[in-house]
Amino acid sequence: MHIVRQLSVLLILSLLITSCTTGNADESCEPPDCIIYGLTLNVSGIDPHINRSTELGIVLRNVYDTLVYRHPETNEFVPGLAESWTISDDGLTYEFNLRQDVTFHDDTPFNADAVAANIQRIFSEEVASQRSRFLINAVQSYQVIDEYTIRLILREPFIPLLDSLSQVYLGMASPTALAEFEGDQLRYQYHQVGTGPFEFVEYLPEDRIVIRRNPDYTWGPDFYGEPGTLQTVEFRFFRDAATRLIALENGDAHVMGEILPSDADAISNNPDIDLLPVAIPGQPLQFYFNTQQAPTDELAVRQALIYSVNRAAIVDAVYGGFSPMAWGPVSEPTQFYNRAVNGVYDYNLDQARGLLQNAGFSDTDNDSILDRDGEPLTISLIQPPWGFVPEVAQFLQDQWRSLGIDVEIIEVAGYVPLLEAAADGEYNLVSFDQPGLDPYILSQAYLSTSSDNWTGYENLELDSILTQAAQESDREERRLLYGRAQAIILEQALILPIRDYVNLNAASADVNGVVFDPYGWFPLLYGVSVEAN
Amino acid sequence: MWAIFLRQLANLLLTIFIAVTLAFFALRLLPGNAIDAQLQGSGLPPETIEARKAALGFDKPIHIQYVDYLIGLVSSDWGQSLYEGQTVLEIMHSRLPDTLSLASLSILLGIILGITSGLLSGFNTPVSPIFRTLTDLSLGIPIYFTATILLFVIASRIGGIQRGLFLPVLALGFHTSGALARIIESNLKTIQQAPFIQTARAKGLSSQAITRRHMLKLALLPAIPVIGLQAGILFSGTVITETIFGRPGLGLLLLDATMERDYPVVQGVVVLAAIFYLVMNQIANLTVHLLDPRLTT
Amino acid sequence: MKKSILITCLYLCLILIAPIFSTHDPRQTDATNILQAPDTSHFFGTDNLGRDVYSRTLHGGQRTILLASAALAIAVIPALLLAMLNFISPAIVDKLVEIFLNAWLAFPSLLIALVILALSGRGFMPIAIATGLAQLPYFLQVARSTFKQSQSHEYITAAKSLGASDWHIVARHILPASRPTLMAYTGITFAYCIINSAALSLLGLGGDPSIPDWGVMLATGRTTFRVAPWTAFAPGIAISLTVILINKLADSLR
Repeated sequence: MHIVRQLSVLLILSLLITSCTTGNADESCEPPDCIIYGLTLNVSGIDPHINRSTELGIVLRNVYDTLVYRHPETNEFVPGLAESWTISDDGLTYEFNLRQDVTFHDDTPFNADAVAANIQRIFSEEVASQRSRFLINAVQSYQVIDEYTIRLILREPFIPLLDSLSQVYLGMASPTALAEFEGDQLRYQYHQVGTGPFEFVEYLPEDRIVIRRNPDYTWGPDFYGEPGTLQTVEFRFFRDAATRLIALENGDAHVMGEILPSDADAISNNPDIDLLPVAIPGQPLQFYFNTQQAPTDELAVRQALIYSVNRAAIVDAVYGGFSPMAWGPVSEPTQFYNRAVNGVYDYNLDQARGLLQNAGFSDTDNDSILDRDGEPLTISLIQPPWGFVPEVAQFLQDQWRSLGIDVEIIEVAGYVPLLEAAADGEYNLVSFDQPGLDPYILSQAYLSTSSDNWTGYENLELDSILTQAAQESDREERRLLYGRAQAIILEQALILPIRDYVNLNAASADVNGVVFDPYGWFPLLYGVSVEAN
Repeated sequence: MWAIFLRQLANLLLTIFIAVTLAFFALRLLPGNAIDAQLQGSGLPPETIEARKAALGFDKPIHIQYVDYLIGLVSSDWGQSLYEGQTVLEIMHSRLPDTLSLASLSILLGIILGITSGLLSGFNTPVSPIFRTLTDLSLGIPIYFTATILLFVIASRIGGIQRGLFLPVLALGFHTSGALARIIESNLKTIQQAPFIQTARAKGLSSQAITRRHMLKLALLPAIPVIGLQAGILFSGTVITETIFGRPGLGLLLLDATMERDYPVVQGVVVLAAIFYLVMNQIANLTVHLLDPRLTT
Repeated sequence: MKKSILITCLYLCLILIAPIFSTHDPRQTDATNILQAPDTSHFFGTDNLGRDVYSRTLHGGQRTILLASAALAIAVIPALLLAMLNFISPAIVDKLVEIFLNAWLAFPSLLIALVILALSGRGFMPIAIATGLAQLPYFLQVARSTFKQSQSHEYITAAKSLGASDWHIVARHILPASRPTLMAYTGITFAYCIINSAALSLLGLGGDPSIPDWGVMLATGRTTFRVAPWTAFAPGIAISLTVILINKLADSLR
């Protein structure tokens, strides 16, 4: 068959062409000078002053310095860009003495004016910050005292201010660079300039983010230690979980986060790859109950829903034993974690049944769904695609079904669809959470005035506790206040806690020195070196 | 000559116009608003959010927004992404090469594989059953499965190809070949039973001559429009391939931008997809016309 | 030929009644027994939520076939009717249809699906409609071009010169002449419907993820393929087998 022969030749030729065209810019990133770091979520915007994702922090923690840092081992605040600071007795004035030897990557000197420019930017309406502004919302004004001294004046005492200032979202950017993009704020993210150990090279959306070591960096916090030999880091996206371990195995990535728990066994059998689980403080993976929507507007129903699921078994099944089960509104590594929450609402099917029965629910029409006054007991659950929430949700649905509760799962494909699905307020459960070390994050979620309040719960006692705790300078007093807040949240069964976040990272065994900062998600790449083969 | 060219051009523009209009209004049918979603957690007062919307032109009546958009399209101002801080044209520019190389190589592989497979299945050769099964697999197995298997089996052994073109083109090309192969096989079967073939045989023409002149052309010609179709839909139908192979292409852009309600970007992708499809279709039509002027479709 | 029709029909019937052979509730999870290898209690093992893969495969077939059939009907029947109407209409209508059809074809089907699902919610019918509408223009285009090509056959010209009415030509000559290609493309469309409806779930747009569906099972089984390949083999083989037999059926009906 003459024509078939011709076609086969063409076929082989085209296959050859294709395989030859695989050599693209990838080949330029080779260890030991360069490593490929895998990111896992789609990001829409990587400006730390504007956007709120943790993905951007993974990259930019190394490009920006902050005024203060948290020590990775003690969690205490240590000097960063600020050498020292004083806090007035009334807690309203913070004075920072800045280092005098710092320059931005574009050679602009770092000084008090630079800090001022950053604060101005964060508060500007142009920028519409989704996280930074919330973190320093208590700041009313600032004063530049002299070239290297700046004062922040708060409108009320705000103890978590240092915590806020130590996060990547308050990283200090070069005022020269910021001024260049004054009229086009969204474009700055492609040309970011900080003072950090790595310089920002480029950002190609969905393709890669590249950072390169800053040879002039001498002003890191003490715990940074000696610089490693790594020169360049290329961050690439691996949205499909099944491809992550494969990339590590064949050398297409050298560090990767969010490995599938079912892949962890393969890693332990592979001497070339190390597993690096990191516990993340903050809110656990959880579901908020909507207290404004029946039937979750009844405490008994909410409690029954929690009692009736074997959360330990679910967490074990979904997260392969790498994540501890969560008991309360913040995970164990979070500051001021209240131990008393352990064991609350432990799996107890009888208790659940009893609660529902007392609330008047029974299966009167024998359709295996409980009902009351002719209405069946149905709940709806908004399920985002991240963090294995779909698997957890299906377990929950099944366990509640055997209790006699009909569960409708509303799948949403991303953050924006999640907001849309929740907008009408007709959901009963929604999965959402924020990381953080200081339990101040509870204010964002539980203050009745907060725009991020998913439970719709209003309680003056909780409000005043949370407000007071943010202003209380005495540590023990804060501990008691947040302890009480956690207790109230559980007493009122406002959430269904699932698991404390643990990020399953993995790295090639040749990569040394990757440490994660106290906030858990963000790697500190200053000291990383790669063994040459 | 000019008249035909101009008429085709007019057709093309009209089609793109309709597609873009559909996209514009279909997007606004989706619930939710990009700006609201973006600024929800920022604690900005409602007035500021409204001012933002006004600055972007969202407060104007929808038909005015539409006209503004059309004017912009023509004057190379395809708008700004609502999130990404780049103009739509810049985004298209950075994502296009990836998709273009993936799509064109996949189409090429698909055509070659499809024709080969179809011919070898349609003529009763000893290898026909193999190729028929291959065609069935090409149609029956979802690409996300093939892609994953390829990754497991090939990419985990060989470094450097996970992000290359070879594997995704192999997967996509394989899966687009199925429809073509099936149509060609079907045509061949029909032709082999057609009366004029019997006549030609009776007249004593050698088998090979019959094959060459009549059967091939008749078998392949009706398949060309199918190629045009497959080629066209490949462009933005590559979402899953792009997700699995981590390629920054237009399919993924379409999905993400639609999820985030980034209207200008979605509309930009629609325009590009429309152009690509129409070009492919025209090539297919022209080929048919050249090969057999009677068969203008 | 007859034999393959029989086999395929038997197979389809088997799929539709398959759930009666299941050994477990397909939605019953078991957190303590995930990713179990096949054994006597679970013929095909368990998936990542501890559900019995065998029972899910049996139940999934019913839903997958019904969903794909509904989508197929939504795609093919209107397309055929429109193509026939188009054929007997004056040339200007044909030109208009061509332009609108091209616009529809040029429009990314993903976007169409997203809009339909966003507006009509999740569930069986919306997914069937979204999938079917995405295939409709392709079938219409193939039907139109096939009709046109049949038009040039000599016996058509002969029939026309004999004064046959348009409908007569369509029914007696065009349709039968186009049948092979259209049957082939129906088989193709059916396969695409199965896969595209599952692809929607993969992108997070499907309905309830606990409802057994071959495509969805394959997509999730893929992530645990390394440690539990049976989670992907069962639905994968099921889908492939179905597509092979359906296409054989389409072949036989030419």
